[in-house]
Amino acid sequence: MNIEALRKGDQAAFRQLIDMTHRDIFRLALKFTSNQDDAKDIAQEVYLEAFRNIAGFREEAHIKTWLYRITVNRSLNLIRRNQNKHQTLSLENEDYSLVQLPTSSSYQADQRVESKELKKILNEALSQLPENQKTAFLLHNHDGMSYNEIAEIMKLSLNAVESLIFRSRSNLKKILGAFYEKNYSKAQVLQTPDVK
Amino acid sequence: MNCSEFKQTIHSDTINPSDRMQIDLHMEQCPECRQYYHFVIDSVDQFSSLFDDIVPDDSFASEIEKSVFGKAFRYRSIPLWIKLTSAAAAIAIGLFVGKTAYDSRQSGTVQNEYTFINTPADTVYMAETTEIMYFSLINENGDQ
Repeated sequence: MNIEALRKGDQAAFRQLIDMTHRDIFRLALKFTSNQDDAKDIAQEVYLEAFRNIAGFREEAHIKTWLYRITVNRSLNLIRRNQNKHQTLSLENEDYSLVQLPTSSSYQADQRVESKELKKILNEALSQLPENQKTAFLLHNHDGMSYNEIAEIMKLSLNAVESLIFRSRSNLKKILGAFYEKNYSKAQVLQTPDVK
Repeated sequence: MNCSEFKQTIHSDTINPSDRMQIDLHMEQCPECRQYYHFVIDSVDQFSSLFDDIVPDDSFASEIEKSVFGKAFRYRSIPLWIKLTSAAAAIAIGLFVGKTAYDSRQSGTVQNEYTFINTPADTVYMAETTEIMYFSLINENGDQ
């Protein structure tokens, strides 16, 4: 990527940057917002901000990391705005009893991941995490991002990032465990348990 | 390992190899715990692939380009050197205007109050007149 050309406002160079990175930027925004339209809006805002401020890009980080940082800030701002507008649904209040978990005998990992409802449940669980834990978790699960890059984006130390990711995973498991116990325990087991 | 121990173990911070074996053994025997494990642990582990099936349209890149270049040129940011030059020019003009206004006010004030004093000779004349008047006043008071 020709950073010098980008700094000079070269449109061809910027088009190349968009072509190379827009899918990852969109997907990261989507992970934060869980909404495709919001993710598209954020991606457009990210590139507009980048184009206006590219002259100030210092090359201390990779340009993609710089774009990710803008994406995270924009996404968090949007989430905060939406939280003020209307209350987000809570796992505690939502009735998920109709969500079909795969039966134990037919269980396949792919089926579970593709389930729209489970995607929603996971997003709701994520929304219950503190903002910094959620950010660290989402970045860790995006584009094979390293701890160093996450630290760069979040402007934190490596130890702080490791701790945030560990706590986010632990908390997510607890939230999902409590949710499972409340909604599916026993009722979802279609086959007679054969516990020894 | 029973179901309760199973759940406690999979939520612990670290799982040692012997616990791992117990977990796997229990899952083979207990469908509910197996489902619990898949729901709680695998969902978290596989989150990274959760959105892989969603990709933007092929036209999305060109949409971004249109949006960026359209808006960017409408509100194009001013280069730093132009901002600095403008600020310096504004300060210089401000100083010039201020100085001119101050000077004219000063000279105006002097002319209004001492219009009769134009040269150093006038100043000397004024001083002499004042001195004469002073001594006259003293003499007059002394006579009385």
